[in-house]
Amino acid sequence: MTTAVADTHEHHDDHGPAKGIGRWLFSTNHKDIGTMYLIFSLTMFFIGGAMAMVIRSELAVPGLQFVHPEFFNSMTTMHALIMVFGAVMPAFVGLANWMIPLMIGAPDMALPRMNNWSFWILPVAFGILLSTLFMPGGGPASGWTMYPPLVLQTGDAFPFLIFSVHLMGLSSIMGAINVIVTIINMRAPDMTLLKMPMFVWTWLITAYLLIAVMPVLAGAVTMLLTDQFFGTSFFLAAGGGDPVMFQHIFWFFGHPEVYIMILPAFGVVSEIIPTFARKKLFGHDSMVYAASCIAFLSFIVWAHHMFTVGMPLTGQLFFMFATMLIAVPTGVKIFNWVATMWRGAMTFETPMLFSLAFVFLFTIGGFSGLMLAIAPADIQYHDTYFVVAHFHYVLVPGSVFAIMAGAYYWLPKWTGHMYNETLGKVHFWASTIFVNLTFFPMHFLGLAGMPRRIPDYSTQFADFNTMASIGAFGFGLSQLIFVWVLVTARKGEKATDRVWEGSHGLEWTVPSPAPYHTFDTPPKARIANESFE
Amino acid sequence: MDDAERRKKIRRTTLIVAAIAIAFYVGFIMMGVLRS
Amino acid sequence: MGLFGLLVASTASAAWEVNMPRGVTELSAETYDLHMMVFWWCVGIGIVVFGVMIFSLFKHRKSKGAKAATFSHSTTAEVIWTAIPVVILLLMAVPAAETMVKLEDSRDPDVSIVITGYQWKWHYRYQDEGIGFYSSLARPSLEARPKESGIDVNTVENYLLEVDNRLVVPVGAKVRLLMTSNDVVHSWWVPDLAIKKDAVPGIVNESWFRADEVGTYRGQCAELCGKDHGYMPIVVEVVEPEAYQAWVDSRSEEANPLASAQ
Repeated sequence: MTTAVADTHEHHDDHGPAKGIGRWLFSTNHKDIGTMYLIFSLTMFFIGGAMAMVIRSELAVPGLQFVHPEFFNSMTTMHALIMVFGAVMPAFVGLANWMIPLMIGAPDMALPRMNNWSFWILPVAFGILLSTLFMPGGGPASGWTMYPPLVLQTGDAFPFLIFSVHLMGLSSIMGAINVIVTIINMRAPDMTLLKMPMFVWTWLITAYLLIAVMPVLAGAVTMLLTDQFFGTSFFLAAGGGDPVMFQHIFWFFGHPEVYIMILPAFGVVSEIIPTFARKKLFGHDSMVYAASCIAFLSFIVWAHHMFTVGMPLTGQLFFMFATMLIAVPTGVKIFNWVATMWRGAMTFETPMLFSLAFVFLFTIGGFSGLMLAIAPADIQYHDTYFVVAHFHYVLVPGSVFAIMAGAYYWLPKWTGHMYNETLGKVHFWASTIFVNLTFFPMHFLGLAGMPRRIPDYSTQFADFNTMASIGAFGFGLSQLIFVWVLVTARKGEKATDRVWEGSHGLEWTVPSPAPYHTFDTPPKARIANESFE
Repeated sequence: MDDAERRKKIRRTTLIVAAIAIAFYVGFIMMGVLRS
Repeated sequence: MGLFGLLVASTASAAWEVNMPRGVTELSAETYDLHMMVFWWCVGIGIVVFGVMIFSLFKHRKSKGAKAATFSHSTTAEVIWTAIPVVILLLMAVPAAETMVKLEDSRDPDVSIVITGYQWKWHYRYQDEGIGFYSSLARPSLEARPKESGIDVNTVENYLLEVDNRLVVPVGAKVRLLMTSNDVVHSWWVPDLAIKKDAVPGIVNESWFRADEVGTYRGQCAELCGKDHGYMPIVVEVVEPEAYQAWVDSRSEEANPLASAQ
């Protein structure tokens, strides 16, 4: 039995996975690694969530009740770093690891040993990052954006923050290399690029974004490190440097980063809606072009995060127009999803519920994004809770809901059992109600004048803050239902290969649970049947 | 396509993509050096 | 008693404030109008898109006996729903660009003020009048803000939005602001003037306003600058020209007691 990738453990293949902790520490199996990424991501989601609870507890009523301002700032900083780099990104990498080989008919990822490293770097990186909370001076407290000169006032934690960011970047870059090499070189013979499922397409595009911008973040924090310890003045005015240059470099990474966090979500939703509408995805090719357009545009809009920094007029005009343009391909995607539903025959299992909420609520996040693009108006929105509302709408009922939709959708394939559908629906409705209660009032707070990143506020902001805090507690508790669903997943009835009546794709041609090794020989005939033709 | 051929292709794609990543890293630091 | 009632009433209504202020300058009003225009476009598009979606969710469900159609693409549809958004965006972009051009024009000011951000207060220097002073969080807020203060912050008037020395400017005058910082990046923001500009060390940023109404306008630092980022507010007092001149004179006397004694 030949496999398409270098593998020196051929004699183990016949006996299934290794036993004990060694199985997980040394695994080069895309399914095991995918599982580890997903469990890691869920753990980090709760840790980041706990930090959000500290933030919302302090902000529930005016006055300081629980924490000092310095600690509050480190909570907002760490909450963001953990959610972005520890929860959302690894979750999508986990889904990629599990599903890309299955969807393209490959036996595994192209570089399985590098895959193992990509994962195991993460617990080390986050162990280091979390340990900074216990160092003299506390954890980093200058925002996840790490602007100098403020970030250079971080205490002992500073080099550990930089090292941790370098490690996370390395993990992402290696993961992205693996995704690109796998998709380019290991598709089943009949699978041309345009025949690939949307989840694979969006991940291919995302991987290119990662390759381009994670190194830029690494460069930026390297320069912070040398400014602090090696006498350079990249960003220090006294030495002839420019603090604003950091912002340019950071956001050149930062803006594509947010598309890195949403494109795979688009891919997941594009798999799920056709299944439960029992109708092919509307405008498949158009969806590919729209995603590519979004990715390209994401490189030329970064300074819309910097409209108040003192940019020349021509710069501001360019970035405003380019940012507004992104609304066009994004709108195209929304319309195509609605057109997929239109005159379908829909049922509303949990994956579909999360996907539909995604379309609704991501669109609302998109509207506030369009408002933010209008530079003169942004003067009033920038660094207020209006921005906090915007990005939480696109990230929570956006990315996170898509991750959960994907988890519910593919869980029977991973575990071989149907999860508890009633519990899933309860999780969905609780999450949706509380997420809106938490973040919708933040639009009002920002418009009424409440700035970001403050531990205490003027009393006229009290009522909406209390509302948001109640919503946050509700949302946090609702996620425990999700954990319960996952823990009891193996108690449900056995799942078929197809699992869902309307599903199409190579991943639904293998048994549930998917065997440890799949597609050791490429699936020639099945492609034609599975692509909905 | 046989195993050896595929491995060559994989190695080639990997090196190209890794080179792009390194180019962005070095490039942006150089930009920082030249601008200050 | 009546004053107290007024106070309670004004904070109570402010508590449910859902929108940006129209402000007291021509440009703050233009900014507000742009914001509302884009907002209504979004509402309109939302009604259409969500309307179609909700209709479909009810009509095209399997439980109601719907049978799935088989169409899966339409070039015409793609062209239409690409072209229409482009047109809508143009309709927004043109007035936005016009406002941006006006925001840049800080020529021929009547008053020039240099604003320096510090951790954690502001310094104001009136270039031509030769006066300068620090502006920090006012004492009542300062005493109430710590965790262990024991003071209920709801009893502090303009909690976290009052300072010891206000920025005073004459109504109707074109005021040019030059912002910089002594340490980290701060940002000077007053919503009623629609001004928010970063105060960056090593850089001087320029901005301007002309306030059309007498009054007191409050703002806050809008860039994370360390532990007391939330405790360095801004208060601008716009007064009649005579009151402004009197204020400048008294400030100058404080600065140069010997000079005015002659």
